[in-house]
Amino acid sequence: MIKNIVISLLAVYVLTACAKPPVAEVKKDGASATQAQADEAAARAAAHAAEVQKAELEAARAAAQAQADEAAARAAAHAAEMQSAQVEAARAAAERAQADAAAARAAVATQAQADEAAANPAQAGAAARDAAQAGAAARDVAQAGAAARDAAQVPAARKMVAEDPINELLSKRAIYYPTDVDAISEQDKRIVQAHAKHLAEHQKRSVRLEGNADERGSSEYNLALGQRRADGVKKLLLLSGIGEDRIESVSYGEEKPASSAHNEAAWSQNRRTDIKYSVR
Amino acid sequence: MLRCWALMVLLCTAFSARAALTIDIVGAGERQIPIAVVPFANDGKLAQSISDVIAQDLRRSGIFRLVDSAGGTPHELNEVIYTDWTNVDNLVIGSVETQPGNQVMVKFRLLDAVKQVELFGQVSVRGTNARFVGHRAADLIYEKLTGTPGSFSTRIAYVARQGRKNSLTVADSDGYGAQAIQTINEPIMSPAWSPDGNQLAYVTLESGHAVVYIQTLATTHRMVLSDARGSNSAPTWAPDGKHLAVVLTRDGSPQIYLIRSDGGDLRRLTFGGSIDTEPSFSPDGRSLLFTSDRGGSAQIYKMSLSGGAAERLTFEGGNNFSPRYNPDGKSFVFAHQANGRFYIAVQDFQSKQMQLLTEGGWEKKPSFSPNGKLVLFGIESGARGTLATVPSDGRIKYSKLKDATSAQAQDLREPTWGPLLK
Repeated sequence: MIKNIVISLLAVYVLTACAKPPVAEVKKDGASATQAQADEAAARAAAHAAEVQKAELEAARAAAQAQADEAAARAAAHAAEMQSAQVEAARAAAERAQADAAAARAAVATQAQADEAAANPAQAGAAARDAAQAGAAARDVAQAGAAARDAAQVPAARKMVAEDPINELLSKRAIYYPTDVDAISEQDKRIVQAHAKHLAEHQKRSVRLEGNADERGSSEYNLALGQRRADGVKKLLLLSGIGEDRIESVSYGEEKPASSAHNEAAWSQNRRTDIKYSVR
Repeated sequence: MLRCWALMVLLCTAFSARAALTIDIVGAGERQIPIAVVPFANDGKLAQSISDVIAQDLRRSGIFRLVDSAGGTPHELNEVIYTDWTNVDNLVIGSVETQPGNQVMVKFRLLDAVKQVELFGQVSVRGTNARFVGHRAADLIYEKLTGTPGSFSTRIAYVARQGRKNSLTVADSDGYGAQAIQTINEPIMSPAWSPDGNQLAYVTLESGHAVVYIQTLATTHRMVLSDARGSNSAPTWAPDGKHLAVVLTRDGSPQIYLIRSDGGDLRRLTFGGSIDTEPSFSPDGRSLLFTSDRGGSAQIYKMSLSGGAAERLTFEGGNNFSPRYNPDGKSFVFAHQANGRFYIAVQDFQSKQMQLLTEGGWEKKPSFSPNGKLVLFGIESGARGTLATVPSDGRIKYSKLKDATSAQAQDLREPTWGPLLK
């Protein structure tokens, strides 16, 4: 299996190295262009095959890791119950780890989609991307499991401090993203979950999610990216049990930037989803 | 050579001082037809110089090199001394007269200075708009000398932004005669001309999320085409003029749908979980180009409206956006992003080779002229956006449409070239 992947990648490398056309010139040589096209087509097919295989491998690894860390989280929560002073802090951390593991399992379910889509090369890329995100989520679950184990050893004095982070999370009204990404980081998922908890406790409140993107790319692509960002936060709220009639998600794309300078400092401010409350 | 270039740029900027919107030639090319447009009789009496409109249209096409009329100013055929014109291939002479009813009439002749013959007999063009009359004359001259119909008498649409104010604007193909057709204090995006030129579809955020409208230009009447949950955007008309493709997020991810121009008969066309946007119909209405990140990054794909898998078209390192079909159906233009810069590029369907038309900066949202010979696009000029055209075969560098007299800085964006008026 590994050997096949290595050979495929080598083949891709060789074929693309030979068939790479120039960027800024119009090639008029018919014969070599046909050969280059054939090589390119073969390279693309091999690249797709390699991508799907890579996705399968990562998804399988993510599944194994998610299961192992979920068990670790559960064990840590059980140990913490033995000591009343640390019960609250440890159980909260373990719940978070379980929620993250559930999310990672859901993400790994896209593996099934990846299998189906393997026959359809047009879908292979999206499945690869989802599986990669699942891999990232599973890696963060490992960290959450470790955090749960650490929490089991937290001394009594820290019990008071455990409640402040919730308010601190709630005060954050924006989720930020790397370039071209609409997935929510593990850290930011806690912000969304704090808002979900708040919405659960205040049934009269509803929330409006406004997705934004930086100005690179086209205005339409950025409108779509902003919508995916807002919808990602919405999905997490729905998973946490908040009713859809209390969540509105819209996109402003690149049209309403927080900062209009043409640099990364401005762009990083604009890649965000805003969380705004209203009373129904 | 450098001195020639510098002199041309100086001449152009000198001419540009007086007009509302001006042309700035950034580079000069070779293998161009040298032509002289002799100022028409009575031209100076009009507010707009018609021979100037013709000269600038021909210059912007990249096919012609405009030569100053150093050899006198003939207006009639019997005034032409051909030996005075050995430095040009062609000569345009004529006269202008105003007529009752605010009409302007231009009579002109196109001459072959080498063979010393008339290429067509005297042509008369009449209209109430002097610049439009000039554009029609330029179209006829262009077609006679290149074999391709001209696109100079067509219109463009774009969004002019100033602070929070957004004006959807229609103007002549050279940027003159700008008229705001919808002004609001919220963003406007993606104007799209109907094939008959009577309507514009566009997107605004005025209701709090992206909604697609269709506005009839003659009546200013506006209807909502799509206001579903999330974002409704990227309208583009099918060649039949009865349907549009739009991008909706009603079912989850941004996906492409077909919709009738009255808002009914919604049909989903793409079925993925990623971003599919910026559809563009082929001239026969059977295929769509679109931008998708289904492969992990924004690239351009082609799909048939009768179903089947989409074919990926762009592979050069970087992202690719905003595809538009050439009216001849043989190539497409798009925005290519690489190394942090945006370029305008064309790609032939047959050869699959990409050709860059600009040197790279902040160049976006290209569209073809109706004859496929020029590309209109948005470009950064200083701190704000403006518009430019470049020949689609890349024969010369782009020419900006520059607003030289505006006291307040307007940001021009989202340009789109209109259809041939029938």
